[in-house]
Amino acid sequence: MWNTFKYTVKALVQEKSCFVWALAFPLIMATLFGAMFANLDSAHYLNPIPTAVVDDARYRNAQAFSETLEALAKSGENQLLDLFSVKSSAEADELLKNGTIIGYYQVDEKEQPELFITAASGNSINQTILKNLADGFIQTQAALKTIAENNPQAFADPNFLENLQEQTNYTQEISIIANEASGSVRYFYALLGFAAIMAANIAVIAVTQTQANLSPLGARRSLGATSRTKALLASLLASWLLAFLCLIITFAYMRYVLDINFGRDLASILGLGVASLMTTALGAFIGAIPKIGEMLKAGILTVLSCFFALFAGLYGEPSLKLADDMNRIAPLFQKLNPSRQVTDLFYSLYFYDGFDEFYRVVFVLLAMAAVLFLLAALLMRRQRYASL
Amino acid sequence: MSVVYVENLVKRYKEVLALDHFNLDIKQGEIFGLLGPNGSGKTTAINCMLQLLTYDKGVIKLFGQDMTPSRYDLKKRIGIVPQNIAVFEELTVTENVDYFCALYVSDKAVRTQLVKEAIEFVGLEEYVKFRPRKLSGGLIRRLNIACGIVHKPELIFLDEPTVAVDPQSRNAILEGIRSLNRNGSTIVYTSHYMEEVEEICTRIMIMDHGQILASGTNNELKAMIGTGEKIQVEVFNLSDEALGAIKALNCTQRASYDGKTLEVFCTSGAQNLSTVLQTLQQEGLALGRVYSEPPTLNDVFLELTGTELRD
Repeated sequence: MWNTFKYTVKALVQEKSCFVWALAFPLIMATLFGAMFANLDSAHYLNPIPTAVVDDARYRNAQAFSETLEALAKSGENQLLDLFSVKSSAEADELLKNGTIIGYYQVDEKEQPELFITAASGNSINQTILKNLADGFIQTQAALKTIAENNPQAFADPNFLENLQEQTNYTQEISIIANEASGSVRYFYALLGFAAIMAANIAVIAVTQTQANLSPLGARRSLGATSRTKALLASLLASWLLAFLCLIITFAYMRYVLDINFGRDLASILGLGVASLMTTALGAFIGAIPKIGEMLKAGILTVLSCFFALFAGLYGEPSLKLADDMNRIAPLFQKLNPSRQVTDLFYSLYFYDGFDEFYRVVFVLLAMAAVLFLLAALLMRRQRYASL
Repeated sequence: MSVVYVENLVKRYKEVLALDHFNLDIKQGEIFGLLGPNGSGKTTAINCMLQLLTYDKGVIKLFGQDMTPSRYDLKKRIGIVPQNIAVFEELTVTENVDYFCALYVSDKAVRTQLVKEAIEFVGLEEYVKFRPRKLSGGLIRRLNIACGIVHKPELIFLDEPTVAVDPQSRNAILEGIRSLNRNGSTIVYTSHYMEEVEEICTRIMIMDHGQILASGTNNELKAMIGTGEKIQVEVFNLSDEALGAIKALNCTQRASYDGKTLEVFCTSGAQNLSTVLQTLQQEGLALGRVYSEPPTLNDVFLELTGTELRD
């Protein structure tokens, strides 16, 4: 049995067709995804807003406003503004016109900041932030002025100014998912789901080479003095190992080269072990179908992989939407979609705190593997054939 | 002792009767030839004996015991060289031979020695690290044989082992089969090349359309048709009268003329050639080259079926 395992591994490793689809293709696709989605997540984060301020005498007199802008432009994690200091409004207009800045502030004769923007000067979110900043400053200044006029003794309280300046937030931001939201990870997970199904090719070839009715080599091996069950088990074990290695390599490439977050790495590897078991069972089943050539089986597998991947969200935004819609409309179909289930393995680790969802998906994949192995065994149970 | 015993084996492929009450009894130490055209049922018979194919009726015993798919004890004593090349394309010569040896022999040290001997036996020592795709057709056939005989089986089935090989490899393969037999193996050899079967087999069975046409030693088969000698004479302008004179000879079984060569099948006799030549000379004909040879298995097949073996 060990010899069969050893030589099956050796033979399958050199089967180019296996590795083109199970390894090379996912790696190439992952590289392309890496290049395509590099900026997808960063687009959700706020970058410092390029803003100018007219550094004239009024601005220098409006000490509170200038200190506020300097604080907001200070380098660091909370930097809000990328501040350009200009000598005149004409210079600021020029920067606004050529798109260097989103808007600019100028202090007016009432020592209040005025915001200048144009319709074409940037996205509305950044313009709103700049507007809110100016409005907030003016409101705070007005509040202080009113209090000073009506209740000057309030300033005797040493905590008064501190409390006034403190912006109390009455909402708390919490995340309902275990990790930081990322739009791109879904594509990589779907790609792993696709790669898992393509890895079934390995088992297709291994099974074809053990069955007397499928290949001359299978016929010869069937005539040996080693039990067919043992030989088949050794071949399936070799297929599982290679499918697992292919997925691990793709996973490692995504994780460590493309820096894709999988939530929990060890559990991901365990999940890949289960996924490769399911894919080996799928390959065993397709491989065992009689009267169909190896090429046709590979074709069937490619069609199945592409079809399942469509509903796992591999083909971009519309495919992702379709996958989500199918989850709602036809949950059973998605449960039976092996590509979707492998994708869900990683969702469960990335988006969920606990392991309940992960265990559920693992159970579904194991159940799929059991059913497919059973069907394969039914097809392969014969020891003699009506014709070869 | 009967190493292979088959009684009334019937095998149908839907409407086609592939084996029609096929019987076989091969004794230990024989090189038994199954001769027949492609599609005559040779490979089907072997696959039934080896329990790869189901069959409708019949008894199959190997080494005196009933053969079933799970008789691994019997399979251990059998070697198979299939008609189609059945080796791993991705493994080297040594790895291939070792893989098939391991299906029969678990002891690694024993296996290493057996693999070495098998490779030497088929003359592939210089190619041990080659993969099959780098080997010529003849060398691949030798590898195919090495994989089948590496465990030194007592009974070896060789199914058309010389198809599409060069004459050098063919001779090496035939000599190898004789050598295996000398070392104690019983051989079942199928072929549609009558010369090979004639050359190496101690007993021959001729079959066609799943039926046994004749069985016996080379000489016994030839004796069955009564032809003692086949004479061919190059002769021009042979008249119908002259052909009639030849056909009228006592020694002539049948005669034919194709416009260039006269072919005369004679009964056994010492004077056949001189009688035929004398008759032709009496007709005043100029003769070219003359050949005289004993009948071949093809003649036997022709006599039994009315068609050439390679038809």
